[in-house]
Amino acid sequence: MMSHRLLLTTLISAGLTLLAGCGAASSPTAPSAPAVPAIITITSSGVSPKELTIAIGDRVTFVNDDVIQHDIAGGPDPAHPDCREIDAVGFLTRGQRRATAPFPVARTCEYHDHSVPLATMNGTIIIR
Amino acid sequence: MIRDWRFVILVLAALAPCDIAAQTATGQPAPTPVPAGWQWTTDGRVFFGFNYQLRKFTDFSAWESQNWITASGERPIARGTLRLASMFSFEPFTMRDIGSPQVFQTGEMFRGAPIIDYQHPHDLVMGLGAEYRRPLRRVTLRAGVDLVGTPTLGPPVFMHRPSAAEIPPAPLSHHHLDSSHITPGVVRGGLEAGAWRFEGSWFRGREPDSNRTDLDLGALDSAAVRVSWIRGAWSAQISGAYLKEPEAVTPFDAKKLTASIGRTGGRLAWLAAFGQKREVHGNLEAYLFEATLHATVGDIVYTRIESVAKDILDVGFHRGAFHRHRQSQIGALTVGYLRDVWRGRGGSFGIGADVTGYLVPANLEESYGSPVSFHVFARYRLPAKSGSASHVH
Repeated sequence: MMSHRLLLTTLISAGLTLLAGCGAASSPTAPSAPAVPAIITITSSGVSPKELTIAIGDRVTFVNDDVIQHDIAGGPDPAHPDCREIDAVGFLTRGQRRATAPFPVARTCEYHDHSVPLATMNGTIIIR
Repeated sequence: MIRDWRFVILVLAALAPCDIAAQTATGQPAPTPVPAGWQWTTDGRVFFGFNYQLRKFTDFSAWESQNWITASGERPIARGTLRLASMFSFEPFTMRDIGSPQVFQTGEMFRGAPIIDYQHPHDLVMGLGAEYRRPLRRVTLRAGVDLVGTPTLGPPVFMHRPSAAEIPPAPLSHHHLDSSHITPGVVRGGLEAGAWRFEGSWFRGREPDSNRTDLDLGALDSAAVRVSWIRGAWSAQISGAYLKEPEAVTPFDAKKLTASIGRTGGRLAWLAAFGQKREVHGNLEAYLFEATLHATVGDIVYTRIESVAKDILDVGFHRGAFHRHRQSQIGALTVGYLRDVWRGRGGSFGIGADVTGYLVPANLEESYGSPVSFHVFARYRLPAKSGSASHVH
């Protein structure tokens, strides 16, 4: 009797394990999905998105879709430089794109436009 | 490499042929006796065409028109000569607000930012003023007041000098040499003695704003002096200026030094010039050589060679965070041809084209690559008329 019960329990467990395995294989979280590129677009209206969240170690690419030049640097304004990873973007002529350096720690970074000192050109990158 | 580029400009200046008439240091013809009554003079040019700037990331192009017209009159008065002068441009309506696409061109503002890669449109009112000139023994005294005028700084502005008048694009060195030609508020005076001319002026140092149809009047807070030498076909000048906060976003004063020499007349006009902007962010130097050859009655060939320092990478002012601007020494070579296809009493009409190649410094290569500029254009030139109401020369 005991052996039958043990056999039945073993079969049910094996079946559940198999089913669980099949379910896991079809789950969307199992293989890591391709990362959405972190892009900030610059137009005459300003930067978009104004706030962007990324993971530690990621980079952010700035794209100049405006008719004039832009010059992206870290910190809320030139008098308060910060987040030097953003300084890697620098001068962008019309149509040009360039990425930041990887952000190594979790924090919030502000940036500004060195060439076009307007509030619409300021933004925030949140690293988690 | 940059030194070589400057050397080429100086060599070309020295080798240029010398067979000419008269381009004065202020762009005005040499003084001649004035008949009684008003004598009126008009002049002007209208360029219309396609401008294409081949770029690394995004090409620029535009259908546009550069244009200007002058009208002036003079008459004897009180043993001297009174001259009234005006100059207008319709570029505020024939160009985009930001200006004419031109790789590496800088100067003035648009949307609160320094303009880069565009030549700004010129103001509707480019000149409006009066000058009185009176001989006194061996010298001639001059005094003038302009609502909008040209301080005593630099060589003749590019659209007035015979070496450049047929070239549609502005020189990259425009803001090193002759950009103050549209200054709202100028008081000037000086004297001529033989071949020499000594002049000084007080004026508003601020550059025109991006509203091209208003008058940007203000206090006369800047000064310039110029010494010119004009003899036959030759002319030369050296000048300097102190400028009170010339750029709207930069609360710093600046100085400019310029020197130029040229010959005009016969078939060839040429000019070699040096300009230096002394700004709080550093000194920016420019070297220019340009020439226009009237090969035949209707065939015009022109060239312009420049080596110009620009602070494109760090342009602008940042309150509370002073830093010197990185400089980029840019070379440019333009060659062009213009054919007059019709000439008559109503003026002349020509078609032409030019191409400009650039020597791009290392610190701009990533952003600019190897750009090339093209212009294909039609040019109408008003007849240079002078005369009274009843007599036209």
